[in-house]
Formats: sequence, C-alpha cells, structure tokens
Amino acid sequence: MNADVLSLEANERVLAVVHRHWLTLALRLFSITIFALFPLVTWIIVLIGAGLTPTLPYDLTQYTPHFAVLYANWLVYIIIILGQTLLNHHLDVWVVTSDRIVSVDQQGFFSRSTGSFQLRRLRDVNVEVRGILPTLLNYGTIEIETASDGPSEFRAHHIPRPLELKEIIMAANTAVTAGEY
Amino acid sequence: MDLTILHDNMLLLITLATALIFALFSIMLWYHALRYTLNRRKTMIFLVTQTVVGTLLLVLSAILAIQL
Repeated sequence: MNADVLSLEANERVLAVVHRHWLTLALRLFSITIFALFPLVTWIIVLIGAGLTPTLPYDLTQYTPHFAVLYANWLVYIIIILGQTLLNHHLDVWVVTSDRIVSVDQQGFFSRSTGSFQLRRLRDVNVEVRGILPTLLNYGTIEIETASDGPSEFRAHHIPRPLELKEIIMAANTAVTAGEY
Repeated sequence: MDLTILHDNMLLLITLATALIFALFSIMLWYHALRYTLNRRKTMIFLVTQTVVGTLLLVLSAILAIQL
C-alpha cells in the first residue's frame, strides 16, 4: 500500500481502507456503455432501414469505413471519460487509522479535498441504511460527529458494510482514549 | 514527407486532434493516478490497459483514414 499519500505518523497503523460501493461505479459504467454503443446501434439501424428501402439512390454501406474512423475516435473519447470515472471512484477513499479518519474526495483532475478527523475527538457515529437495494447489497450512509472548532459533522454516502466500519471506528476510538495505541 | 494528405483527409485530421487530446489526458491521468493512489500495482495495470486500448483505437482509425 502506498501509505506516503496519507502522511502517516510514526506509530500510526491503517485499520481499514474503504471505497464507495461498487454499485455507484456500475451505474456510471452502464451509462457510459450506452453512450459508447449509441452511434454503432444508430448506424446499424440506418443500414437496415436503407436495406429495406430499395428506392434509395445511393448505397450507404460504402460509408461504413468512414463511420468506422469516426466511431474509433468516439471510442477514444469514451475511454477518456471512462478513465476519469474510474480514477475518481478509486481515489475517493476513507482510511481509518489508529489515530484518525482520513477522507479523500477526488472530484476531477484539479479538484481534490482531504479531511482528517482525530479519533480522540470523536463524539458519535451514526449509520443509515435506507431502501431495498441498500439493504440487500449492504451499503449506506455513515455520519460522524466530532468535538472540534472546525466542521463537526461529516457524512459519507454509499459506504459498503457501514455497520462493520462503525464497529472498527468505535473500537479504534476506544483504544485511542484508553491509550493503547 | 507529403503533408498534403492532412489537408485532403479530414478524417485523418480528426484522428490527429483526438490523438493530441488523448495524449494530454493520458499524461494528466498517469500523473494524478500514480501520485494519489493507495494501490500502485492495481493502478499501473489500469493505466497501461487504458493507454494501450486508446492507442490501438487511434492507430486503427489512422490506418483506416489513410486508406480512404
């Protein structure tokens, strides 16, 4: 694991690394796939329609190589969008260490926000799993309240196994306040 | 090298423009991904796959455009 990104202290240990639930990525990938296939399906429909229209004065199939060039370029742009989507999903991460919780939200190439919450300042951890899909696939929202001068509430959505994560956070908090770490 | 092929072939120009944009994007993607990732190995596999597939598509597009 590339822990340099987290700037860990000397005795700090990583207890959990959490990314958003795979369903959020799957839904985005599905819409990207629709965009990717749309021109191809349209061209096939146009060719079928032209084939069913014998009175058409020109042969559309002669333009298939031209379409192939344009479609290959279209797919390159789809790959660009896909790369950005996968990168954002992969870099959005919650890391629970023995001392703190680090939250990273990557919103684009030039937009990244990082938050860090000391476990000893933790006041409360709430979990919400609402709906059929979240219940079946076990993902939800986790909300943390801290006693700090800055923003005291933090919320993360689409977290997989939120109850397990809550247990890890609470156990780490107990250990920090008891002075085990 | 006869560059009039670019002037005569709009599809090749489009392919070249796409290649430039893809190159720029790939540089940014590699930089950000390797700088901020927690799992270097997995990220490298993804980056290499993405770059290879994109490059192959561009080469295919250029070959088709030149032949037209």
